[in-house]
Amino acid sequence: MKRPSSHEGLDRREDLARLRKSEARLRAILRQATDGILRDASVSRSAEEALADSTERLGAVLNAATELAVIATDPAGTINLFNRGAERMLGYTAQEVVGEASPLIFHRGEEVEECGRGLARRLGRPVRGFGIFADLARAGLAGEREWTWVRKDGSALLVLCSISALYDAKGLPSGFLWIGRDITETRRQEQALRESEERFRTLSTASPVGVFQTDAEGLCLYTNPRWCEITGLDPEESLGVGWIRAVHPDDQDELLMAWRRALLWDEEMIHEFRFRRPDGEVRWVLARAAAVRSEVGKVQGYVGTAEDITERRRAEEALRDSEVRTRAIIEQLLGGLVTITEEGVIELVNPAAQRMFGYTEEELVGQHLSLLLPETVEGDPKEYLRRTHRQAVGRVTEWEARRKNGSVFPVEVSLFEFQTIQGRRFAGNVRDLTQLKEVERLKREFVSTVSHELRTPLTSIRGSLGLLAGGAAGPLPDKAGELVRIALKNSERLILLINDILDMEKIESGRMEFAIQPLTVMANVELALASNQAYADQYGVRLVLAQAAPGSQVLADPNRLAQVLANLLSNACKFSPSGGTVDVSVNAAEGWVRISVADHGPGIREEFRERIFQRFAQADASDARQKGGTGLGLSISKAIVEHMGGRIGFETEVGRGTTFHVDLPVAPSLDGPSPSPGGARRPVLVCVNDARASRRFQEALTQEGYTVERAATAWEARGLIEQSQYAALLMSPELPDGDGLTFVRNLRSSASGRSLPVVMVSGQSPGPSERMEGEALLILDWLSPPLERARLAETIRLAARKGWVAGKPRILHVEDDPDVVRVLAVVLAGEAEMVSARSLGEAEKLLARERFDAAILDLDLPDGVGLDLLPQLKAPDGRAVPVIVFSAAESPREMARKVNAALVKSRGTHQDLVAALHALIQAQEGSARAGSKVEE
Amino acid sequence: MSASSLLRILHVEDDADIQAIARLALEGVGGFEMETCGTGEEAMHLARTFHPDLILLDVMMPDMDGVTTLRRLRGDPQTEAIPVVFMTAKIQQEEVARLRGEGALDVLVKPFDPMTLAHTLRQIWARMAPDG
Repeated sequence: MKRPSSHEGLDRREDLARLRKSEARLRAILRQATDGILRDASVSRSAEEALADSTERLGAVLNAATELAVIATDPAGTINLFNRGAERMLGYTAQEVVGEASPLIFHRGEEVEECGRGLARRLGRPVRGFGIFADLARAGLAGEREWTWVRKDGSALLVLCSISALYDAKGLPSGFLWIGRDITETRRQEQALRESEERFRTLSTASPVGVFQTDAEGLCLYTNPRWCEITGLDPEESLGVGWIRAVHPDDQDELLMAWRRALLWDEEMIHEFRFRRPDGEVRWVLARAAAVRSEVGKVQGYVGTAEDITERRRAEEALRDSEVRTRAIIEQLLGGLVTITEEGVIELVNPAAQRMFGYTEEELVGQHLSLLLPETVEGDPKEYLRRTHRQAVGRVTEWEARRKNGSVFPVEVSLFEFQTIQGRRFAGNVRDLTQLKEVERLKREFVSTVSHELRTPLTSIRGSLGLLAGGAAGPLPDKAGELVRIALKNSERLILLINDILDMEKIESGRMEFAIQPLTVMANVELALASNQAYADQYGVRLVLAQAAPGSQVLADPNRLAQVLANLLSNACKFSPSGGTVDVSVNAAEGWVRISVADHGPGIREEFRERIFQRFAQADASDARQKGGTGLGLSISKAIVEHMGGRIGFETEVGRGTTFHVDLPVAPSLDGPSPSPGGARRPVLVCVNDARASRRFQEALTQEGYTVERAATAWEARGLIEQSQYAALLMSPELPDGDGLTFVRNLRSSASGRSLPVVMVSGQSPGPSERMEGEALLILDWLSPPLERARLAETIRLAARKGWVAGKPRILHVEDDPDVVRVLAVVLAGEAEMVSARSLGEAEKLLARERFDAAILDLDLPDGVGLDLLPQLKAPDGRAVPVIVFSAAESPREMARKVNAALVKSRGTHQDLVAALHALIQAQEGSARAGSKVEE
Repeated sequence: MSASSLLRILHVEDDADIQAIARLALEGVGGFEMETCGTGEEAMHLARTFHPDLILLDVMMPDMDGVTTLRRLRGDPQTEAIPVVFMTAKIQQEEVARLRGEGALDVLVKPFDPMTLAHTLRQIWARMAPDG
């Protein structure tokens, strides 16, 4: 803050006083000097000598006073003394004026005339010229007053000047004396001061902050309107000590302390305190005050500002309050909460998280999040986070976490993102899943045990009743027979219920396994009709295939589809009138195949329609008994269909019947209907963990005419697959952010990736993880290093080509179980020419004279292992014939090592096998059409 | 295989009621010669002395379960060729597949229909030995 002008005013006044003192001293000296001259003159010395002597002395004295102009004249007005001060002030030299001019030369004419007119009125006679000065002086009217003088160069200056008459010893006028002091600067400064103070008032009046000024004792001298507004005091009340009374009593001591401290250290006081207004309202202010000091350092007062910060304080208090609340909530949260910076540095861990991970807050804050992750997460942690957060934000994901003691445990993380002034932050809501997993395990065990424990007595009950009803104990009396049949029927219902509950539990816990694959719809529908006709017969109902869609392929798990169809068919039978039909239709529409099961029963009542897919939903309590259902069938069917990416629904009309329909996604033929397969080919997506290998694949495929896109990580690949369509995905079993099999499994359950052909490229340590067991992932081929470019290109071509073509491939089925041979021959009758061999020897003989398009191998044969045939399973061009291994005995890891050809693990059901075969043969056919040398 | 036309069945089952029902079911129909026992150890012994054509083997048994019993049977030259049909109350797909993978001829689930048990076993037998 600028030094206040009032201070300058004070200084000026002091200066004036000092000047007056020096002037008075000078006058005394002058008087003495003049006296001396006159005395000397009278004491017999020659007057000139004495005068010269005195004048010399006087000149010396006068010249020493450079601040003052001292000018003397003779009685007639001719200048006879003109000191240094006068020279300095007026620009004339003494020589120029002494004996030459009158003081009129440096006075302003008009001013002198003006003065003369006034004097003339007073004296009653005209006064002119130098006489004006003479008369003024003689009349004693020329005491100190302001005159305008004019310098030699014409410029003006303001002078405080006294003109006095001089008398000699005899009392005769000896001349006149001018003593003048330049006050131009003083006046100018006074004017500036006035203006400055005016400005200060104007500014402070308009100021948005309170402004005050006090004297050295703290008595208020001035307050601006804003200050009064803040304190609620009138301007008068605020002056003096009034303002101190307005300070909140609780804050007065502290304010005084702050004030004293500021004074002591000579610094600006900055202090926040409250005013309590007369109306009782409390206002917070931020006051700043600085001492105003004189040049010698004496405190003359204080000026300062008071800023109303009530709103800010309230906001701060509200913030603090909310902070306290938030903090309390976070501290008390049962779940762990961890917030991190974008770089992964931990900023906050709540007590629950500290307990969960076994660290103290001090040990975690400031550390990188990788401290809490298992050591298996390698590489750049920043990179890892960038990858993972994109996947995890806004979702609930399962991670593995690491405790301080090194133990790894499962957690569920719900990650969210927020923006702070310091940048983006992530907060993870962490739940320890250890117990949950344990509970899940126990539940699984429990359900499985209960299932077994219930079945054992039920086996006896059902068995006994069955034997009784079957007459094993001789013919029963009619009534007894009726009762036994009722008991038998209900024991069977109980068994079904247990089965359904088991299924329900598996669906809910996500453990129901789905082997989703391309299926020929009609084969599965016809199978369902055949196997459920016996059941329909009980109700006197005929199952009719009303409409077929030959050649339609869907993506589904054949067993689960069979289960759904059995449910729908049995439902339809139960509600059909005896002698009626249940009509099954299959229609293919855009992207979907619809299987409809229509009954001609009573229809579903309006009020029940909403609940139809709910568990234990039955139209009324008596239905269950009458119809013998469990109430879980439709609920299970819905869950299954939706898990396979399909939809289930129904139309019903009371009195006319009900039609349930299942829509399943079509297994698309990737080349589509386009007759130009080489035309607009979709790109191949390469996602391989080794960047060099990835580039090599790209080069190789580009040379084969493919467009190639590359993804570095699984999530990147996932994103690309969601956005675009690809001919095939070439991927490694291990990826930087997960394993390929999990990826493929997830891919299969998504709409965009359900039918994408996947080619696995194993790395140096090949082999799918054990988790592949039990999964039918439909991985079309398994390539192992070293990379053969031709084989790679062909595999991709195989993968990218789909679409069943006419013409039956020849398949060698090596299997010692005649039942399996027969079943497969029947199942594949329309689609392949089956040649069976019951032993290794037989197969070898066949291979020696015939060619096959594919082989199905049982691993354990009476005379050896099926895999021994591999060397012989070669096409003439040396290319391996696709092989399906049909056995559950050996883990896929071991097989993958031995079978460098196509491999689909299947679980031992015929449908799985058929589906796998389809996939392979289709690929094979495609390859043949593409001009590859497959046939002889 | 068997000189007589009777099919010799060894039923290994720890639940006496189920033993009784199976016996009734098979003997009532006729054409079977039944021997039953409740443990894997006894089964090992009877497999060598009774010379069954087929062993109907419960999976969940105390002491020695069905799978272990089957492996022991396969490990003994005297019994390795005897076909085994499992009977289980665990009907999950993967469980059934596991049992098939152990080399069982077939897997029957509990509860079973006693009136068709004889027929079912004959079918399995026929598949096993078409000439028989």
